[in-house]
Amino acid sequence: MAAKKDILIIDDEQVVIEGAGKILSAYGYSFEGALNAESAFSLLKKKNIYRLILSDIKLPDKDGFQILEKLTAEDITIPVIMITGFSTMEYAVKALQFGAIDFLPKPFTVEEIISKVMRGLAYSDIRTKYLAQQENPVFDSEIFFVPTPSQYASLGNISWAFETGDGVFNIGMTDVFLKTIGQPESLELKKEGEQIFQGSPCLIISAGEEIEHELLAPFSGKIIEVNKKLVNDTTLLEKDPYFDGWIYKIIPQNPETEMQILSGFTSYVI
Amino acid sequence: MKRHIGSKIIIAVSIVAAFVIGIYALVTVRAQRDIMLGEMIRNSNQLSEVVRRSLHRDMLSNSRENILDIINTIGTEPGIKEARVVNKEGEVVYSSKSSDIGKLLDMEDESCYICHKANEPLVSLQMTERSRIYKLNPDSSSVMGIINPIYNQPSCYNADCHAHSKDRKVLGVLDIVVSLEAMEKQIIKSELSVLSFAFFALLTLGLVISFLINRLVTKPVNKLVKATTEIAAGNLNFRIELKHKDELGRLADSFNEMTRKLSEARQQLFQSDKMASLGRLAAGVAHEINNPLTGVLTYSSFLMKRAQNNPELLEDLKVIVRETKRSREIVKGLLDFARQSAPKKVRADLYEILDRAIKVVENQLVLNHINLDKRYSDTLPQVTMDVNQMQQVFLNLLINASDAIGDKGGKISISTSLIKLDPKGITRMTKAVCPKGHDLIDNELKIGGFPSIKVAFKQSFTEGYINLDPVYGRYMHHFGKDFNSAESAEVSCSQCKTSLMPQGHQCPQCSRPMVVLAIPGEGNVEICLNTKYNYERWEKVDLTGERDFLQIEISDSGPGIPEENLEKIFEPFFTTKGQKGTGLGLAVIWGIIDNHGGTITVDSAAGKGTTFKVRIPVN
Repeated sequence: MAAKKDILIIDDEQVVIEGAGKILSAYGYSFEGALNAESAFSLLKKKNIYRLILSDIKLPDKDGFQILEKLTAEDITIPVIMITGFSTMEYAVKALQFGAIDFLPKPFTVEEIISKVMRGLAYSDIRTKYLAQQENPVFDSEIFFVPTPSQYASLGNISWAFETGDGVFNIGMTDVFLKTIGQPESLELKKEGEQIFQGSPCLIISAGEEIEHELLAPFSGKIIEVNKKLVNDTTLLEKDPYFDGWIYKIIPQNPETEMQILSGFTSYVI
Repeated sequence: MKRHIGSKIIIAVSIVAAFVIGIYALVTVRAQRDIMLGEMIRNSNQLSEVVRRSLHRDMLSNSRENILDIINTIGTEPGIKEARVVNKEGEVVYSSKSSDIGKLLDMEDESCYICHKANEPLVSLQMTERSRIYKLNPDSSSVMGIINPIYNQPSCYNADCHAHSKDRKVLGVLDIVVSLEAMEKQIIKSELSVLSFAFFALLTLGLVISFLINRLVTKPVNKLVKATTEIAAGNLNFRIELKHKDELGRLADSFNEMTRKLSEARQQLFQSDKMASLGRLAAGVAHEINNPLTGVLTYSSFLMKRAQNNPELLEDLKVIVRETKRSREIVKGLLDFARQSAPKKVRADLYEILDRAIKVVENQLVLNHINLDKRYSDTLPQVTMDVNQMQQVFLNLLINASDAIGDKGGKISISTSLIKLDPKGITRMTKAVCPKGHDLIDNELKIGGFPSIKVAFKQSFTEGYINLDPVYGRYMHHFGKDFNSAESAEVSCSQCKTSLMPQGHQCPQCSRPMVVLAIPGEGNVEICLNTKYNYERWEKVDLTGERDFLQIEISDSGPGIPEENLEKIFEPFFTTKGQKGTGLGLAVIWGIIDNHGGTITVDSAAGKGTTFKVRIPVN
């Protein structure tokens, strides 16, 4: 049995695997690389030895979306972060729609990949614990996170949106996302009147060690109000992630189409 | 020869004309011949009668010299071949040909045959029966023999000589043979003149028809044929110069109209096609370039982490990381623009966007001594648009203007206004239903890029479907080949066949009943299918009046764009900036404006400066 590795990198470019690998090793993560989907799946046969998969979207034998489908079909629950040189918002949203937990556009810096990998690994652990508990329920079980209310629209496990009336939507961060970050040190909020776009960063969260996390917006629209309480008290995000912990109030630009996109997402158990 | 329509018409007309003229000539010649022959017979009979009477007395007195003298005199008359008297027994008693005298003729002789052809010889002869035409020998010209029976009269059988008994009815015949040579010559002459008349008539007719057909049919048809080959060869700017006011003239007009629309459509298609290939190219380039960039960025940013204690190295690495990040942004920008990704539209203030764009180029303008003249109209309504894309549009236009002027100084003016444009030609029917509520929109067939409206039609001999142009007032309907627009048609719902032509909707131009489409929430559209007038009325849209557009004009005092470049400036990869430009700026702008439902046009002449005019619909 091979030694347990943290991350599987699937990319048809050796330099990408090596570059990313160097960074991951420097941060103490172990990894293995696969140059195509076939060798990736033969590595994956040694079940559950990876905590996270980083996969390119364009591979010689399969595309990243097919890989996501095959993982679901083979009941492999390892979370996937998509990496691609085709870095548009549509692709990012599509990757999330297919069940990827995040999206990493090429080329990336050390900070960018580490931020995503840290969150991905944290998420992977939460998911593993959660699934184990589902399989073997224990009374008085530990609560890992507060799930997003079912009437909320959410962008994967990242952000949520909820209409408060008169066409105004509250935008916030899911509790799972916050749990993967750890304790936020400071928030870099956008200003009133600014635009946000579905699938694009709308908030930058610093969480120590020079690592910044980006929150992707669930909806496009114009910010009409920013939650000022958050600036002074970031714990509000944790205390009440779905009500008082809202981040922006926005007037969405085309809620119908974007709602349709969100409802087309692979249902996230977690 | 057979391949020319003109020749075919000329041949057909010539055949008919030749037939008619030929019949006419034949009838005329026949009639003339009959008249001449009748005249000849009458004259000859008269002569024969005169001769018989003048011989009568000499016969009674039996003065043979006198008789022979008269016969000879007659025989010498021009045109008279022979004059002779034959008795009942068939003996030639007198003849102008002395050799014939005493000859015995048999019953088959031309002179005897008429009366003696039956068993019982005829006693009396009708005027018409007296003459017979025959040839003396096969080579000679025809002759006409006139026989005049010499009847037995009291003076004959009572004469002293008692030569004839009383019971004989006919004593003999006076036979005069007249030559028809002169008459036949005459007839040939007149035949010739009729024939030559017919020939000249035919020739003249042929020439006149050739001339007219050449002028009225062949030349215009050749022009049309030339036009179609030009179009087929791809020259959509070709126009037919035809002044005719007839059907061919109208055909040429509609042909020109068709090519004009075709040319527009191709231009549009060409542009979108190029944008599409550009998008594919950019996607490929982005993906391929991003992989090596990933190598550079990961290694350099990794090195930067490791070189925290080496400030000198750190600074250099920072440059590499910064520049690689810049390359990343360039590739991303290329991808975003070239892909023409669906604009992220929000309601926005045009002035904010303009001012942001101006801020970016301000320094460059100052450096190049360029004055910026802002002539903003007081208030403009907010418009739904993609803020970033529109900012890119104005930024690119400003940079182009600044580049055009160069560093010698000049002026750029930006003016904005709210203009109104007629809703005709720009308003689209996005929904249309029949009285029973069936959806008439046909997504299969698009006209000018938009789903058409499908209805069923019925005419006297045919039925089928029509796809109506969804753009109000553009009239680019697809009728199909079975439809005759000159004839009125019964139009009904393509699904339930409920009539779409209610009473009381007559076209004010041609008074035919019109098609009435219900547009949910937008009233009714009345459409006349007579393509001669192309009448449409959409009362609700007409009432709302003209549509509002924001118009932004950016003019520069640069050298202007030469005419030959004007057509090409929106084409991808067309650039006059040499190595400095990619030739994508204006192509991308065009795509962005198009995505916003607006238009961008350029007005320029060498030495006059350039003005770009952008129009964006206010909705």
